[in-house]
Amino acid sequence: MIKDSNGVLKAAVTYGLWSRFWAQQTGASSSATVDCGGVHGRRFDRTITVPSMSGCNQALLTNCDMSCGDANCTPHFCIEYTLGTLAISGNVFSAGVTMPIKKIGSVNVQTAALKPVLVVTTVLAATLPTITVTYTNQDGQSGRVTGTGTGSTPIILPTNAAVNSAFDIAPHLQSGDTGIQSVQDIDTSGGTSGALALMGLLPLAYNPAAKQHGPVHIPPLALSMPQYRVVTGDRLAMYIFGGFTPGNSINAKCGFAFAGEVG
Amino acid sequence: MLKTFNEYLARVCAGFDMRQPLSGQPPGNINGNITSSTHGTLPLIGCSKALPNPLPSGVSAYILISMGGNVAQSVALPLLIAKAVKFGSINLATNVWTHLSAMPTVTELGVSRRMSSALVCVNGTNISSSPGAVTITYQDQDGNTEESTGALNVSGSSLRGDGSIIVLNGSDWAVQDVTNVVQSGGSSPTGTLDLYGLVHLGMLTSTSGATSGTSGQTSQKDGLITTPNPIRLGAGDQVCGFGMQGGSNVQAACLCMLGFVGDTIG
Repeated sequence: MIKDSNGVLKAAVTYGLWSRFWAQQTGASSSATVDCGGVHGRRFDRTITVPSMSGCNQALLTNCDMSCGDANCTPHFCIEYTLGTLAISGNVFSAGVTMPIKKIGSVNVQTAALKPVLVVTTVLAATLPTITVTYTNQDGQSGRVTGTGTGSTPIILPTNAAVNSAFDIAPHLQSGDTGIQSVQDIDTSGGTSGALALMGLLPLAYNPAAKQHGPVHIPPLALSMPQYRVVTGDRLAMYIFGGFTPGNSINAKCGFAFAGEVG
Repeated sequence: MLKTFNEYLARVCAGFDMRQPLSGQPPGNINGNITSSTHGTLPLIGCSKALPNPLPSGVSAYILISMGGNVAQSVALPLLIAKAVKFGSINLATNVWTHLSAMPTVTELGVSRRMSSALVCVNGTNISSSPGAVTITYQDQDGNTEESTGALNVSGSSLRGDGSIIVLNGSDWAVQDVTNVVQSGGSSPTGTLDLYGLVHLGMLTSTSGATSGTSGQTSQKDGLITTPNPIRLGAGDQVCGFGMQGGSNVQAACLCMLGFVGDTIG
């Protein structure tokens, strides 16, 4: 496995870097309130699938430049997993995947979404719907429910939330929980149409010093966060969180490179 | 091929390094050259000299290991440093599309694969007042052909260098090649549009200045130590600087220096 900068340079020769330039602009999203995470969020829905590999079986993000057209947002470049979906009409839940096992260093770790995000995938026709998620937490305990226990409050989404709005529900997990491994149910208190997806995010890089239009060179090898490896088929997505203006169209751009390795 | 930091250092000490300036300034205000929905403006600010063709003796490729300089504009506008792959040009007056190149085929993660990129449209010349629209046919990131953008309205009287990132069909996010561009509508349109794919090399920070060229921010980045990105560049490759964001009536200029090291043969 890659253990230092020389390892990246060597992997670039051995397997060739996977490098791309991505950009997207999306329209207005809905404002978050204290009842739905408290921090505005937006998902850019043109995602990237990690391609096939040969000779290596996983890849490490080694270079990531991100820029965003709002002064007050923090772009996140993430591996994204669909933990479950909800069709508002009929209150129909569909199960998704369980968060994956990832090797951190030399140890296999059952990951949990430390950033579980409710994303509006089809605009909602619902008046302040209360969304309840039943899930398995970071320790593998099933049957946990959002909005229960001391200090945890129910998730109440804005009325008619716009598509690509993203609400971080971590503050609403059952008291004591910090993450989600899998989802057993998503329920709405009402509404006539629209759809939600609960995404589990593993952040790979983020822009920690938001400055309007200013890029931040993210040194993934030096960040104080787990260096998750990606595998073929993983879905990469860009989110922004923070105090941006939800009513505005905002664009984000990202140049990245991954180096292959044998895990 | 160079595989360690020490090998890179030794190579520089052996005289296989190269410095090239990257500078430029669009002739006037930048507003985005496509009035239909885009993924943001991306004007072409300036280009470095094309890499030597043929490569010098003993050099198999060039690797960009440092970039730095001054980027000035009337609003904050970071500079994207990228290898520009020109898919081709459309002459709006004659409605003739001239294809030049597809994205290169390289080995990525052990697999030989054609690269892809967000699609960038830049004015190759000043554009007339009523240019009409263009429809772009492309091969997407998965190799699917005959994808189409639909008609994109070109901004009348937009200036050389102004540019935009094109919204692609459906969930497409990148392009391997552009196979055709067709002009429609307008009144006596003139001018050329250049279509590019980009191989990302780095970004330089900037902040707003009073007017272009008179102030700005000096920024630099290494491409070797903290954020290794050893993309191999070949003979004749062109490295350019593109303005990343913008508002309306943005003015911009850049004066930068790029540092390359020549890779070994074998």
